[in-house]
Amino acid sequence: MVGAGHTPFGRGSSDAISLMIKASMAAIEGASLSPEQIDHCFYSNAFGFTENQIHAGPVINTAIGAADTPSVTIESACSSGSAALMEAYAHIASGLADVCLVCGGERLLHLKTPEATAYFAMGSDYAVEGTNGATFPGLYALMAQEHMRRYGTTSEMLASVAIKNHQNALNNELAHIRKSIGMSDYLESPYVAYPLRLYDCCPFSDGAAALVIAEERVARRLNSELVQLVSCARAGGPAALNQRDDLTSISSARVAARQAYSSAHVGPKDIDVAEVHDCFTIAEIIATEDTGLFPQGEGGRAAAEGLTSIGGKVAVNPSGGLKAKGHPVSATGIAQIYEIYRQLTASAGKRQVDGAEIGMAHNVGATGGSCTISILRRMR
Amino acid sequence: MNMRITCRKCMSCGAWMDARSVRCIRCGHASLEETDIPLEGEVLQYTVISVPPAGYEMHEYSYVLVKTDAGMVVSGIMHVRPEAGERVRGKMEKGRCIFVPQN
Repeated sequence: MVGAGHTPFGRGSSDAISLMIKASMAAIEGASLSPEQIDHCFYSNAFGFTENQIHAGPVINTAIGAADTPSVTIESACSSGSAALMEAYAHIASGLADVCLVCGGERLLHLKTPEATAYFAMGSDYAVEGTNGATFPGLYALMAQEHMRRYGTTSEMLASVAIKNHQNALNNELAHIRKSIGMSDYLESPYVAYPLRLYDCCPFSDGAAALVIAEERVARRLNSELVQLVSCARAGGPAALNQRDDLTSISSARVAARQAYSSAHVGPKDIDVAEVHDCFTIAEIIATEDTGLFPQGEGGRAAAEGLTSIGGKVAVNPSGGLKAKGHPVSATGIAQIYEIYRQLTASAGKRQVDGAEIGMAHNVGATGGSCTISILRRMR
Repeated sequence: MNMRITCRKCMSCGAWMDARSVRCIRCGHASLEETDIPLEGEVLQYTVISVPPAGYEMHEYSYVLVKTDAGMVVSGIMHVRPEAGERVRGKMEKGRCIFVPQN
């Protein structure tokens, strides 16, 4: 990785394309490149249709003065950004390209909550779940219910995830929600889908994030602050919850994690910092179990005991996560890598994890029909 | 009113899946049998949706996973708050699966 860009998350003043242009140029300039030096662009903008825009690539490339550069726009629900990254990674690893731009962006806050809720439900197996009234908070609520029943996970444990991530976001100038919350704020917040409350849920956000990745020899010429994308693995799983053997785990995350660790020759104990897909608090708890950071059923207790805080056993979501940094769907997977990049180059400011050498990003599509796990290492 | 749902069952391993499947989700076998099963079973897990999506006429409802007596897990709606393990029966109505307590 040689460059990274990230717009503020929250209510944007422009459309998704403009946000993506801004993030892309920041990443390209950060890599000391000009746009025409990019070999291939990978974009994601899953909700572009709500702004009457699909096929975002040529629009962005034209605006940045690289209209002739090939591009593709990739959709994989909430893992769209990391799916785009995976394609760029594959292009470079296979020798098809030397330098790739990856950018994801979204405008969502022009949608009212019920409207956005309906659009998000399209990421489920709609014929089975969406038609029967399933919402995303509702589907994750089923997972929370089962986790609570089987492992004794409590509302207070869910709250500890929310409180930590809000605290972390206070030190992230790009975060959507920079507001500290306490246990009473959490417990007094209304239910969205029992047992998940408002403070269990990430916000819909506008924003964009971008990365420039390059083949190692090219990268070494471009930038002295390098982070290596050691592995990037994707896996799939059943789209609908009714087709799964276990509601307390996401099989695609487990498989992708296993592949990513194996390919990187590291294990969960080597991870210093992780950005995981906490679209809901229960999702962070399950993510820390699926990636092996904590044993199955222990994720809630780990969060409540502070083991996932900055300075704990492993810092989870120092950026504030989706929960507080925000969730502009297609930007999320790339913004996670941006945060790991900042952490591994010791440029994360007040939320810096001391001595971070190896980081991981976990990005889930919908309720786990797809998942990407990326492992990054600081290069010397 | 249809009180059954069409599913497919793997003739090799016995796994159930929805009617669109052409290969078994568990063992990959292509021998699937289409079967209509009664919408009767017990609530596996539930949630109460308090923020419905646009176009939904109900203010609040329960979204449930029901394990049918045949073995297939199906999703649906209840207008009351159920308990996990509660016996329910359902019917298909306007493309939705609506469950009610059995007693």
